[in-house]
Amino acid sequence: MRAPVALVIIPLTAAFLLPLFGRRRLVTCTLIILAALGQIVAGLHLVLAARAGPVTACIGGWHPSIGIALYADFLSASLALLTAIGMAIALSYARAYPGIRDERFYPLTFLLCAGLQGTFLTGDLFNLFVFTEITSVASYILTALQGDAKGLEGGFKYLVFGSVSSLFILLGVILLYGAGGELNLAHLGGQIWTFPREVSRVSIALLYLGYGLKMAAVPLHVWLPDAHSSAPSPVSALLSGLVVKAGAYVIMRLSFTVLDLERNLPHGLRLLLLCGLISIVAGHLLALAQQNLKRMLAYSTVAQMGYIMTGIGLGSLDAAAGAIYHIFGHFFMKAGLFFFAGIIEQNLKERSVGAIRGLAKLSPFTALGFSLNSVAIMGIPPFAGFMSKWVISSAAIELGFLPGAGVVGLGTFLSALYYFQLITLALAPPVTSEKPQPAPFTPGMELLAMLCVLVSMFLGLLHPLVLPEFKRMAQALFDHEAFRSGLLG
Amino acid sequence: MTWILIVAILIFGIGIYTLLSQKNLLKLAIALNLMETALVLLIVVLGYRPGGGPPILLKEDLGPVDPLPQAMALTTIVIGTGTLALTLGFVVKLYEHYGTLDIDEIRRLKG
Repeated sequence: MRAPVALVIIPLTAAFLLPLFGRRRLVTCTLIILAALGQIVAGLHLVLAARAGPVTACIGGWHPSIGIALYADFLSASLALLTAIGMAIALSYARAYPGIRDERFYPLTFLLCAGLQGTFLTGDLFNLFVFTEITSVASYILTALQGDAKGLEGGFKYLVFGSVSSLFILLGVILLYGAGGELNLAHLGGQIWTFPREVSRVSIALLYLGYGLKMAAVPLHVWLPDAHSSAPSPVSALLSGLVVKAGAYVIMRLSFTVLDLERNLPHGLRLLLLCGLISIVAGHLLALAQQNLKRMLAYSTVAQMGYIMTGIGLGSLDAAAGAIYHIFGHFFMKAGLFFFAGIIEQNLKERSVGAIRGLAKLSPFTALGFSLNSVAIMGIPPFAGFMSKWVISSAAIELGFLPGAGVVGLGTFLSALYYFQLITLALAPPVTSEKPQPAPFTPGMELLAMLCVLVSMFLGLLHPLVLPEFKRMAQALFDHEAFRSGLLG
Repeated sequence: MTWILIVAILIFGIGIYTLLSQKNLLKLAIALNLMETALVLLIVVLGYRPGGGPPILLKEDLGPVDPLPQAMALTTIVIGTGTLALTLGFVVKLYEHYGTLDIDEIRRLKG
């Protein structure tokens, strides 16, 4: 089975081949398209295979218990496919986006993608660290890609926080290796609770601290608004839509499959739940106070990650399915919002919230898409944002944890406050009485952004079809037997 | 063996302290690198077996030291060097834009 290897190798090869061809547009274009398509094909192939049962790829022919294996169950395969599709959308948007004239964008995005695919597919702890680091380093550079003062500042802040979190992760990995001499995740899951109490607790805490910072859980979120708001819009979409989700995926995988926190350390899960609830409220409140459009969207990401963490922290299969649903839905909603924010920024040359006043007159299509997207992320049916929050809060009620459902509802209310403010601003008549300059219509970008809205709508509308699939992905998380047999042979 | 562990923890601590207390971008870069160096030291110590030879199976005296941490240490050094180069690149660019290395003066993103 070679699809997991292909998913990592294709973007990595593209990333290192692209700079060789430099300015030969024809060659680089073909290469980008081939790599993006190849990744989607490999992703589809893997999802279909992994739906039937987990797929293990032994690298270099080593038995998975000695070597470094790639492991793909239905969840990781689906996330890999989401990454491949999300990448393709972001790359096409970036082609049309006038803010990116830098050819370095493409290799870096492929590098980011290779890191993400590796994070989703690896079955080895140290390998996980390496892939996380690849993802992070690519993100730092992409944030500062435009080379402007703000981008550099946001990128540097991201770099410092990201490096510290990586070092915490590495320290956790080293402690675990020192205690057990194993890096295979399945081996580790079996051993870790026999280690001395301090070693297991401290290393788990370090790993969660590191990945919590990567997924921007409040109070570890301070770097995110700066980085995501000062990056170019296609990059913001990738960072908010995929990169923070990689942290969430690792926390999910560790909590359920590897460590089985529910049985071994239930307090850990409760702590995650608390962090998630705080993130929802704090993220939305901070977003309310923002004057900069992209900064508002970035804080909204903090809150949305809170929903995912809440889903993880509740610990039940249904809640995890809701969290996974939200990972998918949020990618399309937030990517769409950042795409529209990019169009608005290019047309109006302004980043403040007030600048979108009268948008409906200037460019009706953008206003329509942006409003639909805002409605989607607020959590109003029939969009995916509503359905995933519904699944999470009903799981909370099922567990008898009413405050959880209450906070999710409160979050929807708070987000409605600022997103409705955006919509009313967009629909309001322009301030100036002079005839507004109609903004140039950029069909490529508009249509791609609209595509994201439509996908999030279909993800919500078709919930009788997609929800069982998300449940299946969550089941893969809880299937310890398959994980052990896949990684230990 | 224990005292090397203490040294590693001490270096890591110095790194964290520098990171939290210093305002100079270059010192932040040094702090990050110090922390990473401490971890490399820790990895190498973990694989060490007193009296063990190099991990090449030639003679069976005390058995080799654990070779895996050495590979991990190399990987960590490579990653650390790459990150350090990137950090310094950022510092150079930031200095070009702001004309200072003080993080308090480079604080334009607010909210």
